[in-house]
Amino acid sequence: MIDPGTVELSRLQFGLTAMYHFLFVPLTLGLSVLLAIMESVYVMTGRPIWRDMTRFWGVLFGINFAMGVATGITMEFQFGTNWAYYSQYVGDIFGAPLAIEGLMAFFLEATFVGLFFFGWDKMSRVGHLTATWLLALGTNLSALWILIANGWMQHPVGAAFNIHTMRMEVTSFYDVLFNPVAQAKFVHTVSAGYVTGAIFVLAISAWFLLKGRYAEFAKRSMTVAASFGLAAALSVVVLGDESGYTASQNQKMKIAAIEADWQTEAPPASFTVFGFPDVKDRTTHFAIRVPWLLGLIATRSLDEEVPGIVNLVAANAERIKHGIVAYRALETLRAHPDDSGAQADFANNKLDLGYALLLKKYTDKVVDATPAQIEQAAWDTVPGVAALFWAFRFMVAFGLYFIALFAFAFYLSARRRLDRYRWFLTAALWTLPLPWLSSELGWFVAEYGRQPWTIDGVLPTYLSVSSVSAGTVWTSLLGFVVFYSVLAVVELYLMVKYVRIGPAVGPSAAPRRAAPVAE
Amino acid sequence: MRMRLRFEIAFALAVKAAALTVLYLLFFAPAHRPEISAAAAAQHLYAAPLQGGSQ
Repeated sequence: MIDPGTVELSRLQFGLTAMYHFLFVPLTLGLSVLLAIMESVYVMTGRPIWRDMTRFWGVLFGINFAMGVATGITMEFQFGTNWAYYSQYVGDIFGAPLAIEGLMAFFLEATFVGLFFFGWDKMSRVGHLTATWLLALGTNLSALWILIANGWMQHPVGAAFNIHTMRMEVTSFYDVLFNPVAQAKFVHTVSAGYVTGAIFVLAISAWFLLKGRYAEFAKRSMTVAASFGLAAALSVVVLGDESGYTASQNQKMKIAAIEADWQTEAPPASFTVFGFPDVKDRTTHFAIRVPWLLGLIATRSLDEEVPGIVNLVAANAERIKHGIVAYRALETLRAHPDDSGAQADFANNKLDLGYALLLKKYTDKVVDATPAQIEQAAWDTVPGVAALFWAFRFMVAFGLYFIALFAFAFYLSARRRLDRYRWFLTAALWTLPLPWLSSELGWFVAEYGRQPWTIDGVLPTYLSVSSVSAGTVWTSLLGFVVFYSVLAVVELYLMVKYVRIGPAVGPSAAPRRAAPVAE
Repeated sequence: MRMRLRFEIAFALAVKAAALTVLYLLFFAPAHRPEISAAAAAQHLYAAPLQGGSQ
């Protein structure tokens, strides 16, 4: 028997640990590339200030790396304990990218972190620079393999259900690797990490300028952050559009929920900029719509429909009915493997087998499900519309704000006026938490939008959890909250402490103290 | 300063490793992990209803 409390607690635990883990990841992704850029300039110009910049931002990178490393391992703990049925059912596919990530990317990353920190006086300039670039490469490769695993959960390609082993198995690792959803998510996620790194450098440099400390150091750091950040912020939007397009092709319900798109409009569909989704009445109140925009974004055409929630629910009810045929055929085949009729029924309907499993919430006799139960299960395929609607809009708003901020910083940098406007420096400083917030919102949209599935269309979430007691999950959840909260506090303490200490500026740099920005 | 930083990071890493080990041993070690065979998974996916029937 599945305890609904255990299901919800296991989801909460996994969601919390994933979101805590992702507090550390984007900064590692972004800062590693910024360090490589700064050190490249140092090697090319030989100017010590660029080495000082690399070393100072490297210290903050090191603190974040040390606090963040292994925080993701708690999710691996949970796969085996809380999500044992998930692991059994899809571990053949899902486990491979996770193992490759650990063996290849993380070892690469961890090795070159060591060379980066301890190799300054032991390696040639070019040798150390190579280690720094390989560190950035390892960090990004880690993200690639994790997102291949996650992309497969969103769009399970290159795998098929094996009726003999009763689990999903790989049929094409190439398809798993080059899953368009995974590739789009990877580039979107790493660019969001680059934005986080760039805002981190921009905000702390702005603080130095506001305090009148390390002016030359801060202005150069801001110049790198502004140019890199502008390119990254523009990439986030372009690649986010690609990610949205792949989702609209493969996860139509997620897109319909994000847009609170209840009914199918005549193409091209309009985009709802603002409104209040009403789940009960299946409408969006006070909607402000931009004609054609959603159709263009989601289908890249003027004549293709973007299906609405009500229409998709009706389509999913049909898929549940097909799933019941596959389910019945599977039961027959397990008793009579040579039954040709059952073989044909299973082959024709196996892609909808997962939809029949949605009925398990309401009946143990799936093949005898009533029309009411089928309708109930079909409506279960709609994720939380209001939460997705707002989370997506805040994420996009933050993304557009980052472009404006970086564009203005880039303009000021080109005009050599970075320290001229106090309001700009203050805005840059207060922007510091926003890239984390938008990254978390992005993950929320991706994962909450996949509900009610762990593997989209294949395995419902409530069938993925183990038969562990809710009390055990509560206790371990409490342990994780304490553990991660302490880590976050230690990270903040160390970050603030070493930012206050500031860079070990050499004789080439500007004076440690300059007049604070007055205007 | 760098020696101090190294000490602080090493200390934090040691405490973190200890905390992770404790969490693992208390809640996630093999003794706490349900053994799910293919047969058990098949039974789960194709027999067990959700407690309460609906929500």
